[in-house]
Amino acid sequence: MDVLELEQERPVSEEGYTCVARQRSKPTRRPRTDEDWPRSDEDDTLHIWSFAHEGIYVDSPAGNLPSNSLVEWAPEAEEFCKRSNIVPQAEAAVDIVKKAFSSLKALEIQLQTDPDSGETSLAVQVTCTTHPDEFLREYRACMKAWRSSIDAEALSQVSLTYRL
Amino acid sequence: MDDPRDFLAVARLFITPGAKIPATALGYRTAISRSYYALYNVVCEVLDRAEIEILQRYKGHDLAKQVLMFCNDEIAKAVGHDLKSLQQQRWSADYDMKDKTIGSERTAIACVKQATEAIENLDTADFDALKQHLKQWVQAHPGNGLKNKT
Repeated sequence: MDVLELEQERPVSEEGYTCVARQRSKPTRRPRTDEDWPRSDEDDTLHIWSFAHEGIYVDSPAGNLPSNSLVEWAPEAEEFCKRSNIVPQAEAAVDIVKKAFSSLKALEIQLQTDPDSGETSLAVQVTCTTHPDEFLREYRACMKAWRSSIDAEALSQVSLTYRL
Repeated sequence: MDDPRDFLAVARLFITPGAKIPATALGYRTAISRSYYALYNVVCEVLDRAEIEILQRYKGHDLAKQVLMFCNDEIAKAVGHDLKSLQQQRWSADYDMKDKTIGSERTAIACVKQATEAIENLDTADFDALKQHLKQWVQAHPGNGLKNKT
């Protein structure tokens, strides 16, 4: 199986165990662009504060992310954000992540399904090349920025996972 | 009673160079899985000490995350997000054999350290304040699967 194919997780039961299976489907994965998200005319732009003390500098409003081939959104993740009304919060989370990690090699936004409950949430997965100690320092700063910038209800639907 | 912190000692066996257990991707997956369960069981221990009962045991993982992330306590919030992150790392480590990226030494080391730090934060927190914040949230959200015993 082509490892580059899109990995869309779904729960399956197999031999008495619930496990995560990845549904492979290649065609529509692509770097997202600014045009992908619907824009609201309301003045509900989420402002991201600057975290200079943490080494994170974010001063642009969410919903205005530049196109970046580093970021890959799975289509079902975009749908989830729209359905859950967390588009600006998800964008803000991704924007913070992009600035938080010094050795960010890849950034994938996927849907992850709880193999026990079947509930889905947004998984922001970073691939970094730093030493684990340095990575965790940056991870802590990133999470602090998330908690300061994104409301708890939306944040409960988003998680940060990693590969080093 | 077994101490869930000892899961971390087990996890470290799989990431320690020169240990008798050979370094393999499956060993790293095991370290990640044990890291999550160390933290999850310490959180359950904290909830028990705070006299908070998990009414629906099968939802324990979700309820533990929920009360930590939503209560008005900064340490609890941070640990709640650690728990959530490590839980998702564990799903990949335990269930997704096609994921070739999860079973790496550095990822396993980071997970063990993340769980270790989170447990240290809980162990050194002002327990009375933490307990108060946790119980306040449970009190304000009846019917969510958690109950204050007192």
